[in-house]
Amino acid sequence: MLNAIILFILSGLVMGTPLLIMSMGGVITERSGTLNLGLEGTMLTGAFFSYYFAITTGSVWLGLLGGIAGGLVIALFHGIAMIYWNTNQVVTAVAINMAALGITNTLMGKFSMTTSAGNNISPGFEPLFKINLGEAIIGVNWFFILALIMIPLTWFVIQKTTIGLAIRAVGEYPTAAATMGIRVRRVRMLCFLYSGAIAALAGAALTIGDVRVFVNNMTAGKGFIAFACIVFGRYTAMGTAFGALVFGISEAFRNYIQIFAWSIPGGYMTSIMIPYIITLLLLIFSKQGNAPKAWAIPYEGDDN
Amino acid sequence: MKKIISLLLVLLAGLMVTACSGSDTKTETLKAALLTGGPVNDGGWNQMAYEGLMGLEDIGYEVSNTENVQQDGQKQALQAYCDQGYNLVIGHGYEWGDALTEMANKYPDIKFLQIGGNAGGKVPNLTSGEFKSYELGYIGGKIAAATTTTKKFGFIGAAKIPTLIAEITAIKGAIKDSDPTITVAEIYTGSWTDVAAGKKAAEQMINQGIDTILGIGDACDAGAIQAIDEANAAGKDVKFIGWTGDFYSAYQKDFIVTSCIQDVQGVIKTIGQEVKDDKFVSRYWLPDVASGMLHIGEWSPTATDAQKAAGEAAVQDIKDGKVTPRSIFDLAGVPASEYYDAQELVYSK
Repeated sequence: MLNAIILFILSGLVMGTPLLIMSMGGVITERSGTLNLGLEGTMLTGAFFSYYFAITTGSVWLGLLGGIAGGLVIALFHGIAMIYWNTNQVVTAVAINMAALGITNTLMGKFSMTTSAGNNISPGFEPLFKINLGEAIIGVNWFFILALIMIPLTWFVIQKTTIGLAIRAVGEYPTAAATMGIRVRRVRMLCFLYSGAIAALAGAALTIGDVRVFVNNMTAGKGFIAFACIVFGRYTAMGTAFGALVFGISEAFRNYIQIFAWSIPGGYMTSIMIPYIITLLLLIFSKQGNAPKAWAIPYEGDDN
Repeated sequence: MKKIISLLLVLLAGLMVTACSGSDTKTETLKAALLTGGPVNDGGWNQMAYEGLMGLEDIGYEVSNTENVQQDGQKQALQAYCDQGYNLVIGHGYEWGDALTEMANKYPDIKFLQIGGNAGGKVPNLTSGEFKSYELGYIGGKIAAATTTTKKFGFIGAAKIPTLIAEITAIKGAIKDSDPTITVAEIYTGSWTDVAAGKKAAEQMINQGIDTILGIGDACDAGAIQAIDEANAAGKDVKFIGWTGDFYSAYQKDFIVTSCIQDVQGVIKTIGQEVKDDKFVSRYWLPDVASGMLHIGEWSPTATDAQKAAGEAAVQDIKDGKVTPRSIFDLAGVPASEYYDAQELVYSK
């Protein structure tokens, strides 16, 4: 029984890995006062390019670099438009997500990496170690370790460092930060690029770190879930991480309900919606707010 | 600035006029269009149709396609091809039924094909081909029963849609028919594109001792295959049975016992040829095992004689009429509300 519980929680944690990584990057951007709804598209781009470069070069590390580079390019366009040109942050993100979906889809077709029974398999990261629980085996790769390290690290950077102070300052009161000599747009842009790189890394965790294929729209809304986790976590690293882990575990729960054919009200329909129902409930019943004061407001002032 | 914009608009309007007038000229070349709800490089259902469309090029068609068409955009997308005088317009999937029927009424000279639905035969220029995939389910179930040694079978699907329910019910029925002690677990991931969810579903099944998995979930299948690959590398012995496409020939992994194939390309080619020869007949067509449109794919070199015998016997039994698998939806008296939980399948023997 204990084994079963450990197995359940562990598989949930492993399932939440890409989400956890991505939301840890996202929380930094949100704290710097920029609304980042483009995580989905950036993750998808990272997933595609890491897969593509891993296949063409045969090296997972070059794949990883390629994926991050792809994510950075998307984040660069997205960030410049929002932070330097003060475009509407929601509309820009919608455009970026659609563009990412279209670009990856088109390139996938162009490189004809699919057959009617599936896609070409890329090289991938092998599990660092395997945990044996009776009959069950769970492989843990370094993305999972990285995700775990990122939680305290992100908290530490935001709360305890000068960089974190600058990030919080431009998020809370950019005009005051500017008078202190902080370059508001530059700080916001760097935060944005960081979260872009991290979202792309999470995309790589999905392809070369996990399933080793790329499929159109394979992120299936994870970018938006990550955003929901950040809001639920009240824009703190710890809260966000908790949200991401709950979502991962509820995904594992969805499978358990079905494997053991547990009867729940609503049957099949409820069971496949379990992760989303839990996320919604969390959002509804959690204490909202605590958003940075200048959140989603473009900085209109001068940059020194 | 305003002047430039208005100038651009005028230019654009001019372009549109020329573009429209260009399509009015009638050509002798036959033109076929394919519309799909998902991307045509999905590594599954839509891609097979796309390959089928490419096959039409070989018999002299000029082809075009539109992918990722949402339900509310279907009519508009169909209309675009009708206006351009296409000869054969294909809507790929159950969800295209209503839109195709409406367009077929509106454009009696254009031939329409629906794959995987039952809208055909009611309008003189609309045919639908719906695979008797429950026959294939019977075959798949027989192979699965001959494959599992732990007596635990797992099924991974994307969503409980009617076709899929008919298929899984047939699979379960055939497994029970072979060996009532085999347990069947089902997981639906809720997404046709979430590969990672398919992988996790397979991992959790394997961790519960399931050693034979059949996947009907497009992209999810790729995830399941990856999970099995990793589990086998860690010392397990798990097998996979493919569905719709030919998985062994695509992946070349020995644990892929074989695949249960729906010849989408064949259906498109058959109808394409009919339109070309002016022999098109509107009908609700059920491509089946007997016509060869449903068959077993390439066997893994490690497939056992027992597995092959089970599969081939199932095919032969259906062809000889010894077994007549029926869709759960053909059973009189099954109320729609119970489709989701329908468990039993009746074979007429």
